[in-house]
Amino acid sequence: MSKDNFGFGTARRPAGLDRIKPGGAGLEQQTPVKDIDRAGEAIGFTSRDTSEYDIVPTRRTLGPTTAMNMRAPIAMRNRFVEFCRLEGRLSYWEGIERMMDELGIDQSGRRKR
Amino acid sequence: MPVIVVANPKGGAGKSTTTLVLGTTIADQGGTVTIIDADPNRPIVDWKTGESQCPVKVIGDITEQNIIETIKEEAKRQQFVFVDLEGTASRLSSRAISRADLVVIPIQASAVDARQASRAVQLISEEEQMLDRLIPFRVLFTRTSSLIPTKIETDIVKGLRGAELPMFTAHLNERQAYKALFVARLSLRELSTSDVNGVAGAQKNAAEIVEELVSYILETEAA
Repeated sequence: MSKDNFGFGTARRPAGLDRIKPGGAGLEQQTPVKDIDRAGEAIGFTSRDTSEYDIVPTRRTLGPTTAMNMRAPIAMRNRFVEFCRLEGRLSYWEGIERMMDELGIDQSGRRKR
Repeated sequence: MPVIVVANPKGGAGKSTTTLVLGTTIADQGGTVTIIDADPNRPIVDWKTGESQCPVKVIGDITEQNIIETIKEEAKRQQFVFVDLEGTASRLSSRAISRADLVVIPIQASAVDARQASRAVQLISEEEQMLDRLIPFRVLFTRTSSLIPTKIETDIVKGLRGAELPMFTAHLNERQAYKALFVARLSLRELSTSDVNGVAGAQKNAAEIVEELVSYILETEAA
């Protein structure tokens, strides 16, 4: 790193630099942004912001998953499927989770007291 | 008159180099400067992660939604706000230009650069009509030889003069030191003269452009 021992950096300071004040002609601009956008779009200056096309996740983020299969009596199976539908089209694991939450079953599998 | 937007829809015209050279030179001379890095490649945000002690403020994460507010907030307190735009025709560019006090259009001495620069001029003209105010602009030649101009360079300069486009008299010359800025992440004042060739020449060149810029701003404000 050079030390600028001889002060050339400030020696070349342009005259009048201190007279330039903060502010600007565009600060009080009242023209609606959509009009500016329209003027730009007319000559090909279009939006490149892709955020409106980003897919918003419809489900909460899951941790690691595994499969869980079971054979069950038809009547009980139908009751469970209907429960999931009526609760807001829950997936089956969400249905089980909902029931466990209602029962107060914690991570250890025990009912909370 | 602090908001200076550096624009050319063509990539590689020298926008980021121009912005960094002018912004850091003015900051090293004692001016208060913010650089708004609106280039998705974030070259100046990246530069700021280095060890430079240059007191320039750098802001990144710029979107179409926050560009205008960011410019307004910085312009209230800083003498100079530079906006380095991406090398593409975008809504971000048109929004930034709507708040500009001066648009600097860097171009290399090539027909492709000159044609794309004309798109920036066209955009400025459209916005002037829309906003009902003058948006001054100036073309700045970049990467030109500091010694003998090439024939192409001479022809293109002549062409732009013929079109009566306002231009900086000084050019941002092709200099090793300008490339070294991004590698060493230092300002011109901080570059080691033993490691990089032509640092003094680059400092002189940068100071000439800054001088021209400051005189232009003062003249415009006085008018």
